[in-house]
Amino acid sequence: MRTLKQPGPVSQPRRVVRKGALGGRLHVTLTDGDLLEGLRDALTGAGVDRAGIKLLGGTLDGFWYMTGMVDPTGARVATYGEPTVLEGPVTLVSGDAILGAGPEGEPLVHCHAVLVDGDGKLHGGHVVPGKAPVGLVTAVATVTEGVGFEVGRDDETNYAIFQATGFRATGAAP
Amino acid sequence: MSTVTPFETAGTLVVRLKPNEDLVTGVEAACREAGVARALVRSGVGSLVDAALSYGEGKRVDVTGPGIEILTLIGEIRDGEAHLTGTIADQEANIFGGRFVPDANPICITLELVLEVVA
Repeated sequence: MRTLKQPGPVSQPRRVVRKGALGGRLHVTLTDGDLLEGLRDALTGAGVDRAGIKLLGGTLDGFWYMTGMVDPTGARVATYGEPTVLEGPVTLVSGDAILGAGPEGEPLVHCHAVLVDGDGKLHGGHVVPGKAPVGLVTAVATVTEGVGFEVGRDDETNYAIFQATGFRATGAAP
Repeated sequence: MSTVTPFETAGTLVVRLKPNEDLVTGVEAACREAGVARALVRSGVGSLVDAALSYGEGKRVDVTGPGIEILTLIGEIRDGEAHLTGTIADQEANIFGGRFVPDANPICITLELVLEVVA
């Protein structure tokens, strides 16, 4: 298994595990607006600010996504390439997302998804915020209570990314 | 034959795997450290250095990264063993699917994972 040297110092532990309660499961239906904004607003409107989300499929009226590439500047191990733009209608096959807190504590959704375009070709990648107009999308959110993800500076990868936060799991390494 | 097992929830785990941790054995280790033997994947977002997915009878596709996106992650931890399937996208946005092979899927930047713990 190939491993890569990250730009920053290796931080410990290598697995961050936080154990919380189940704060409920919520079914979400979106019929308009942007996918990420819609998920964010629907869940925060229901009083939820930390959740794992499974997209159950649907249709979009267009879709911008990005896939990874080697960072040519060397500042990071990998970065995103230029967005790929799909015209609608696009079929959403499924996707996974995390609702957490952004750098200023604001609600933020990080989402990857798989889609089929009008010619039947599969696509997928990192969903570009504001660039996934919803036709109809349903999802299930698993609400995590007392634990979740918050964006934090990560010197090792040289990114500001979601960090697992909250109560420490019993028996977990410090 | 079929087996139906009702289950009760015993909470949630949020897990971050850092670079070069293996997806499969890293999830197993995270659950072990939390004292969890059974759990369901509710959401997983992240990336891999390289990827290896198994399918068919003993077949396997190896995809070279880095920066392979984990698009969807499905599966469970059963008796402490992670059974994970899903889809990935390579640098050219080609999509692959299958079962993640243990010790062959190193995390690139991060894995953000939400598990529901089964009582």
